Formats: sequence, structure tokens, C-alpha cells
Amino acid sequence: MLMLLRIDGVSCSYDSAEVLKDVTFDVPSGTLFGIVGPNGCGKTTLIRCVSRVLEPVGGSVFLDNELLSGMSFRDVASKVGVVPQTTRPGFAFTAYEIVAMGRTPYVGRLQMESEEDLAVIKGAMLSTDCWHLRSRMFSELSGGEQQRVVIARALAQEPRVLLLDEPTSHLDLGYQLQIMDMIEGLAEERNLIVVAIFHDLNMAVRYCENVVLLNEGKVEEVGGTLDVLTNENIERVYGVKVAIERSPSTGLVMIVPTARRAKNRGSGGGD
Amino acid sequence: MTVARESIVDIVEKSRSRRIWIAVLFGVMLASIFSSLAFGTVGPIGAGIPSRMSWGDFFNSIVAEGPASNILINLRLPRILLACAVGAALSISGAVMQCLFRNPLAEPYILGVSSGAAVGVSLGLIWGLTSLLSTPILAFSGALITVAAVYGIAQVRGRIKTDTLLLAGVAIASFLSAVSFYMLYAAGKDRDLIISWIMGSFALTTFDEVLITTFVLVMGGLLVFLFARDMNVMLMGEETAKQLGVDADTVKIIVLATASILAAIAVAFVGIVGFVGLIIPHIVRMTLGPDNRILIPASAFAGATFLIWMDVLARTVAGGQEIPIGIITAFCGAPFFIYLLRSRKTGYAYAS
Repeated sequence: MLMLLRIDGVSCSYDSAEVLKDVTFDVPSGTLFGIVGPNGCGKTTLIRCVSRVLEPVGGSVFLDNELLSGMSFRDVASKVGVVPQTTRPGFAFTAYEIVAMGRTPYVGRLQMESEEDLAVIKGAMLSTDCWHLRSRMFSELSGGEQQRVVIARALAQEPRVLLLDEPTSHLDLGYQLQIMDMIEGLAEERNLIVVAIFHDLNMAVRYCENVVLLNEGKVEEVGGTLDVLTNENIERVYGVKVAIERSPSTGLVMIVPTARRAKNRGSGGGD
Repeated sequence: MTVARESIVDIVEKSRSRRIWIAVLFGVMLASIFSSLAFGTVGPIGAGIPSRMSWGDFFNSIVAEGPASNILINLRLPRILLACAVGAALSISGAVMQCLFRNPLAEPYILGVSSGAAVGVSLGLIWGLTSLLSTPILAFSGALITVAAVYGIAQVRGRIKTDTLLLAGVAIASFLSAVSFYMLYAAGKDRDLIISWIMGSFALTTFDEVLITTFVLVMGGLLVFLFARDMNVMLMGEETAKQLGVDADTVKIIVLATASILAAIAVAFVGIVGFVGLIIPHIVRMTLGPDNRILIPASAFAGATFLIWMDVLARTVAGGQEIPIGIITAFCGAPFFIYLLRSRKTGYAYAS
């Protein structure tokens, strides 16, 4: 059955500076949904809003017609799993202990993890191929292994929604594809609603069926990935001229930057 | 489910062996309480002034009226029990603060909490409020006000800057120490009293002090233990903790206030004892890992044992002369701590 995450007119602000303005879109389950946009456009803020770390000043977030805003942290955590951009535990935990933290919404204050919890943890670690790492220290794992452990932690929450903040930004090419293929498989297999932030537009084109393009906290456009990521939209939002080409040898669509537009962003100097 | 069971055996085993450690440490603590009774000016082990006591007389004096019953039961036993309770309280407090601020340096002394409590107690000494209840209450107030102030200074836009927190703590700690010593000095208090304050002392402990300290320790320790799992998750950072279902803001307030009260009760009856809250949780974390469900009880028992034996040294090494406990803890604790910092195992306990 198709599920739906509905972001309905969400506005958000830090210290009176409005970061998100009336953001509205729907995300269906089973496929990947991308959030793209330039730095500071509110991508991470949007994830913080959906995961209820930040209370929106206006609008609401619904999951299958259920209002997420106003729920307890515990209730939201059993529905929404988040994979942050970086994970640095304060002290040295094993990979297993990190994934076991995903059971927090289900384990009582004075309980140890039950057998059912253990089974869920193991299942999550197997599906991201990190069960063999369970006794290793998290801090000693490679970037790709760490990311698989953190995704397993989110899966151990048994969520219906998976939010990922630039899941591949610290990874080499091989790990980037491995992680994204894995996430794509999980979305289909578990019928998850997957929302991921991308800096690399080619990653978004390759993996997302739909994207939302944010600019200065507002939705610029939302829809099918190639309908949104057009030459005009990219140039308007990022200030970069691009060529969008389908590679004759692989059939993959590539977005290739060609020149920066005369109107400069930042202090890079005129060219 | 049995499939999961079989292959998860290594993990179950590991957590079981860690829980056995808690029982072992508890046993060592109990054994220390009894065996440390034998050390001292009067007793079978120690300076032997005027003459060394026989083991027979020693056991007699404990179980029945004997030549040294009064010294062993009414003078020595309470200070052993107070050392035990204070060691546990300081270790729990340090473990909690290191965890909440995700920094290995955080502990009640460095964050100024102990000095805040000391100001409260000093005010009591000057105003003549030195009853069994007013002293701890003043210490709690001083500690809580200080922790709130240090926290407030370090908070920028709802986020804690750990560097600022530690620096603010160090600054406030030395300021408040100066304030409390000046108050005692200006009030013409006797110099021995001031020194026993700066360095801590278990001399002249009463059973009432032991009872109050133990009560606060048990209540505070249990309350903190209730949140042990939440604190584990908060080691991932507060935002991630919320996304994993922990109400991090509430947990932080409850646990930090409790940890401050535990540090304050130690100051109230003993004075400032450094190093225990810093090193004990580290040593335990290096051997048993960072899981607070294990770390908190294990640190409590290890810290209790440590301070019992430090107090034995304080009352025996200089013959009949009593050495302030803080000197002994710093003297033994600091070199050992530096050794641990340089040893290879450290990499196990600290990420990156």
C-alpha cells in the first residue's frame, strides 16, 4: 500500500530569522525522494522539522493523515528514522551498541533489549551488511562502514520514514554507489518513505524519482527529477549554467556545469 | 527468534561478564569497609601507638565491648562509611557530567560545582547555620546555582559550547574557592579548619552525617541510573538523541541537577576532594566500556573502594598525624591518571 508523508505549509525560524517559508509537498513510499538546493536554502532545517527536533512555527507534517508535530519524541522516533550527516559518538561504542540505540523508542527504562529487539537489531545490521562488524569499535570503522551502521540504527527504529542528510557526502565513489543502491533496495523492500538531501545533483538524478528544489527557504519546484532539474531552474537557483546530457554509451543522464553565471554568489570574485 | 539468539551469543556473553563486574566491585567495596577497620593508630595494622593491638583484641572490640570499641565503632567506622559514600557520590557525579557534556574533562570540581557548594557551606559556618540539615541544603543551593550559571555562560543559541563550558567552570571554580576561603579567613576561623576544607577531611565524622550522605547517595544514584540508557543515547549528540526518541532537554536538567547534588553532599561533610570524580569513571570506562548502565554502578563501587583506601593512607602514612584526604587522592590519582592517558588502552575508551 502506498503511504504518504505530507509537508503542509511548513514554516520554520531560528531566532526570528525565517529559514523555511510555507513549504508544501507530498512524498510517496517505495521510491527515493530528493531534497536539493544551494547551501543555506533550508534543506537540513526541513529534515529537523520532519523529525520534530525543531517545532515549525507554521504548518504541519502528516504521516498517513496522522499529525507528527506535537507527538512525543518517542512516538516520532518509532515512525521516523534519521541518518545525520556525521556521527561522532562521545565515547567509544561498538557497532552493535550504536545500532541497539535504534531500539530506544521500544525499550522501557529499566529493561534490557528483549529477544525480539535483538532480532530486529540483527535484521537491520544484516540488511545493511554490517552484522560482521558488530564487535568492532565504531570509531575504528571506515566511512562507508560507519554509514552502514548508522543506517542500520535508523532501520532498527522500524520507521516508516527514513530521512538522510547527504548520505554519501563523506564517501568515496565505490561507497557512494554501494550506500545508494542499498537505500534504494531498502525503500522498495520495506515500502519506506525515503527522503534524502543531495548536494550532488547527478546522485539525485540517478536515484530519485522525485525531487523538491528549495531556494531561500521556499519551494522552487517539486516533481519528477528531470522535470525539476532543468537548465533554467538550475541556473536560476545555483547561478550555474549546465548542460544536461544523456550519455550515449551508458544511457545515464548527466548534469555537467559549463560556466558560472555573471551574477556571482558569495565572494569568489568576478570572472 | 532462536536464530537471533544463537549468533548473538557473543554479545550476550559480553554484557553478562560486564554485569558480573558490578557484583565483583560491590563485593570488593564491602570487603574494604570491614578490612579497613584494622588500619589506624589503634588497631592490628598501623602505627601502633602506644602499642600495637592484637588481632584477637581487635575482633573482640568489634563484636563486643573491648579495649578499643569506642575508637573502632564510634570513630573509625563512621569515617570509613562516609569515605565510601562520598567516593561513590563523586564518581557517579563525574561519570554523569562527562557523559552529558561529552567531554572527558567534565567533573564537579572542574565545572565549579564543588566550589559553589563550598561557598554555601562557608556561609553557613559564618552565619552559624551548621546543623545537620542546613549544611547540606546550603551546599545544594550553592552547587545548583553554580551549575546553572556555568551552563548559562556556555550556552550560545541553545547549544552548549564545551570549550566555553570548561573554561567558565575553571574560572568560576577558582573565583568561588577564593570567595569561600576569604569568608572563612575574614571571619577569623581557625586555620586548621580552612585547610581541612580546602583538602577535605574525614576526621570527626558522625553517624548522622553518614546517614544523610547515604540517603542522598542512594536516592540520587537510583534516579541517575533510571536515565542511564537515555544518557547513552545522548552521547550521540542531543539532536540525534531526540531523533532516537529521548527527551534530551528534560533528561539533561534532571540528571545534571542530581549530579550536582551528589557532588554537593560530598562537599557538605568532607570538604573539597578532587580527582575522584575525574579518574574513577575514566578507569572504569577504559575497562568496562561507556555503557552507563554498567558504568554508573561500577564507578560508584570502584570510587567508594578507592576513597576508603585513600582515607586509610590519610590516617596511617604519617604515623599518628592525619593528612588531608585531598592531598592523598591527588598524590595517588594524578600519576596513575597520566599513566592511563599514555597507555595504549586509552584508544579503546575514546572515539577519535
